[in-house]
Amino acid sequence: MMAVTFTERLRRLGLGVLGILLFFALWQFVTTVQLIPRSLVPPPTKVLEVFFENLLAGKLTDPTLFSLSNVVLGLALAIVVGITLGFVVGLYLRRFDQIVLPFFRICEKLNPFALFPIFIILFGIARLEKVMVVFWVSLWPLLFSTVDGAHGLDRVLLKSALSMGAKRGKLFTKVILPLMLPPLFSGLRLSATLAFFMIIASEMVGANDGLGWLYLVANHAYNLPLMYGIILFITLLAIVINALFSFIERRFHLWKPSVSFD
Amino acid sequence: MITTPAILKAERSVVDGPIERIVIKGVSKSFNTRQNKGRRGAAAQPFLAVRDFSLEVREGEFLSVVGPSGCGKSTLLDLLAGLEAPSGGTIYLDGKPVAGPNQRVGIVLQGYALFPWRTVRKNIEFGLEIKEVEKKERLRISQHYIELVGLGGFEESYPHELSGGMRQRVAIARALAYDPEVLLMDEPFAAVDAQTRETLQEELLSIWERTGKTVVFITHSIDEAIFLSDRIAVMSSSPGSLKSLLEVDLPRPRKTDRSSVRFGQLRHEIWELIQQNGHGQRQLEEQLVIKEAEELLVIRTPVRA
Repeated sequence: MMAVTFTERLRRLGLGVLGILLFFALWQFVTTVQLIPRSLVPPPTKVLEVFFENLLAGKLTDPTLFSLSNVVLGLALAIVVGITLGFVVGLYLRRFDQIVLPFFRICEKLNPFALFPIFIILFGIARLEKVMVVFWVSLWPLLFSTVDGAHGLDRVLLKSALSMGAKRGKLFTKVILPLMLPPLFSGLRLSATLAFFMIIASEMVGANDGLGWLYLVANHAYNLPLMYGIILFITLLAIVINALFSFIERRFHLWKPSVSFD
Repeated sequence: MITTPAILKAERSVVDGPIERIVIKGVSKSFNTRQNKGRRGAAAQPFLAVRDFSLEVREGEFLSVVGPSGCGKSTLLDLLAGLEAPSGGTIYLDGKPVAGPNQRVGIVLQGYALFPWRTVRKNIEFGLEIKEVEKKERLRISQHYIELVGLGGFEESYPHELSGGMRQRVAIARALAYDPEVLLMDEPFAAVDAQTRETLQEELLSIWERTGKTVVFITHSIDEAIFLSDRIAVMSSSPGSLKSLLEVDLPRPRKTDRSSVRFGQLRHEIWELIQQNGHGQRQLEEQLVIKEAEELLVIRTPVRA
């Protein structure tokens, strides 16, 4: 992976962008010649026009901030609870993990969409409920990646650290934590993706703010260009979130077992 | 389990003696086989890994432990390092019983066990950080050991950027950096190729001579043991116990001795000792014979073409 040269990366990026541009060109063509009626699918130029009108009028600012802040809050809560619980179960409660882990697995498998109405009954439709939805869906990947990471800790490395006199505190900060960073990070990445995905969904079930709610409002008003615009905008945000994680990963050049033969 | 207070008392003078660095006195180790956890029905059978093992390691000597795989060599190392507590008997290091992991011993394990997120320098400084040695001093010490093992110029490299032989050198430097009294090595060269192995053996001897450390070296290879050691402890298995203790009377330096007559005699002697190893050990013996044959082939074949 590291061997990929700059020009090669540029070439790949160029080809990727080309594919997207071709798609938009096709979309424009199909809608201009009315192969698909404009009343069903508006042309991308119209979509962008309406979207930017709304954006500049500030109509997207609050919903976007609402959605993103809920993701951040829910995720932060899931990080604290999930990683702590994962460490406790994975490192210190090894005798009980066969009791608690199957239960957690079932919790993870519960369809979160089916839980929305229950969350609404419990927490209302405002911010609290959204944060709880995000918390719930992002808890499990974080918890399980922490448990798996703790179970998979390199015994020889721990033995080596112990032999050099590393005890509880230092063993944890200097060995266990760095060893756990790659699995923790992959769990976090999965959680963040899932969280952003679910926040939009939950805002479409019952909400009075957020991008999902705005999408539903546009839908009720049959504002097709805005609907498509919001879809594109949500996709763009998801890409940005993903890129952010890639950046952090590279910035702190998190080591991974797989890079050992680069 | 097996307790030997009478013997301990009788050997007190030995413990206090100035020549012995390590005194292993009637040590036994049994494990409750926890491997099949989950199957609650299966009764935990205690497995005796080491039985009534006694050995004295002299100050500054190079002692190897050989024996078939599964003879408890590695368990012995864990006991010496204080990573495991003996079920019976006591291990003394400079007269004081070993009561847990400590910086009086440094260990080098098979498979390097380097911290992949730390550079060569940071790996070597690990034990010093634990010891809370201040940064400037750490730097001075790590630089000294980096040069001792011939890794100058690789201070800021990460383990994955190094060859197997270089990684092993980092592991040795790391174990030496916090200045332990004893260096314990568990098959440290098992994972490198034959030629690198010979180079590392020679380097280890030179490091040993320069630092004057007491070394306990666990190995599978009879030739390696003869080449390196002052004395060789031959273990027998199931349960692991000391079979014989041999003095290696080859003069040092030994660079050219690998094919000498005396070397061959010693090799044969040790091989015989391991061969006599009880009944029901056929599999282990065969394993060893194959390993031995491989090593003979490597040595007899002129590799440097």
